[in-house]
Amino acid sequence: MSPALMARKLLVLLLGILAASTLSACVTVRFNEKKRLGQEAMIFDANPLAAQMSGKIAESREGAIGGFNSGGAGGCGCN
Amino acid sequence: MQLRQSLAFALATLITLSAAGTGYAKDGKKSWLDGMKVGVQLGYFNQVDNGSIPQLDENGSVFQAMLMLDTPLTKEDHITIRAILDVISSASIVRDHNQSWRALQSEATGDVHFDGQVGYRHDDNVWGVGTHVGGSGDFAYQSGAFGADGWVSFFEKDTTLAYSLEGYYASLQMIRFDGHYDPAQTRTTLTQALTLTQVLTPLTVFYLALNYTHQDGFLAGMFNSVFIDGVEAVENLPSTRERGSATVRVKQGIGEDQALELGAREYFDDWGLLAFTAMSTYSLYLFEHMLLIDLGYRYHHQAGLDYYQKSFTADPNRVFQTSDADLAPLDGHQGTLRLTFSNELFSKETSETGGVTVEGDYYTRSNGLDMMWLLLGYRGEF
Repeated sequence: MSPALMARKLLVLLLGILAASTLSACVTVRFNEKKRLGQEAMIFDANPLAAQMSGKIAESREGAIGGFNSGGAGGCGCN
Repeated sequence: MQLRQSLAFALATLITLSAAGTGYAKDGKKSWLDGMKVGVQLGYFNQVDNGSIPQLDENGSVFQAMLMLDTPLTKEDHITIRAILDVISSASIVRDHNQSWRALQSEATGDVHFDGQVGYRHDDNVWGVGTHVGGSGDFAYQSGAFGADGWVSFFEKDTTLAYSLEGYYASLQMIRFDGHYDPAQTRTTLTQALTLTQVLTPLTVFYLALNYTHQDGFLAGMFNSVFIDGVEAVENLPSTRERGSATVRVKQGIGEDQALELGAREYFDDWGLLAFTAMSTYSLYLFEHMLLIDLGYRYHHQAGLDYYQKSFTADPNRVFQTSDADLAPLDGHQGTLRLTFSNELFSKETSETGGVTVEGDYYTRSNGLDMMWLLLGYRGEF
């Protein structure tokens, strides 16, 4: 296994552990503390129009799909 | 046929919307436009291909117009509409080895690509469901699409789980690299996504997405070709493909005016393509939140497909072959600068989201492709 591949797998593993600890924590943030989370800068893909275009470009000119701005393949004759 | 049916459905929905609008006066609303969310965007895309495939350069530019509407029928029920129109303003598919052939190809100058979608959503306080149908196409590709999704929140909305299903059934006109037509083929695509969004602290949000896509039918490029000992032949790829990815993203607010997002994706499929993508976005509010600046960087690395080679030598045992540069081993770097001007600059609207957006992106790929796109958009609410 190449060092780059090992590093990538380690990163995904660490992020997975973070995800697991997230679920187990079940921290409740009070409603009045969430004002900041409603701001554009704190919302994932807050601009759906820009996300749609960038996602489609990446999806049609790269071999990978899913996750960032894109649900999956389809809608064009590309690979 | 699917496209015509989708357009007819969209028209019927618009008529229904108009009819439903007449009821708003009884509910104290001024018109059916009240509460409608609108998004419009104009885009310009340009690509320069210098050497991805030695015998072929794909240079081109595209103008795009996009419209998104979300109209409330009631407080919980919404009709959503999305329409996208791409016009290829200039394109040159240069085949130096075959300059005499100028058959019409997809994405040639003057081609138009349309994508339309209409849907219904019911969003309650802690759960929601939605469905949509759509169609897209150009002269060489037509598809019908359907989708459904649902979400549910727990722990005072700190945790949100969502599931979506998206399907496409496409018809492909088989215009091959040398201009001859083969019988039309079909392609089916089914994508499922499971996402978790978790609020960790008043300034931290975590996101996990698991995607799985199944495709079958004709999965090669209609126009794509390979060179075998210097002789051009059609691309050939398997008729099924299973694709999966896992994505994690974290947003961290910094003080009142800044935020940082980090994300990573691992992708794999049964054609042997492995990919890793990482992204980061730094966000900064200026002028009392009247202006939001997003500065992003995205890195993409992929190992090439099992069936990819830049050129081939004759081998009677080989079944699958592609020289598609998009499926080659490559590294991609993308930079993004986005300015979003708050709607408060133009009206009394006090929403924390939306506004006028100006964006520029540049993407460069290690195997010769350079792309840039510019966007001008508006999002607001009546």
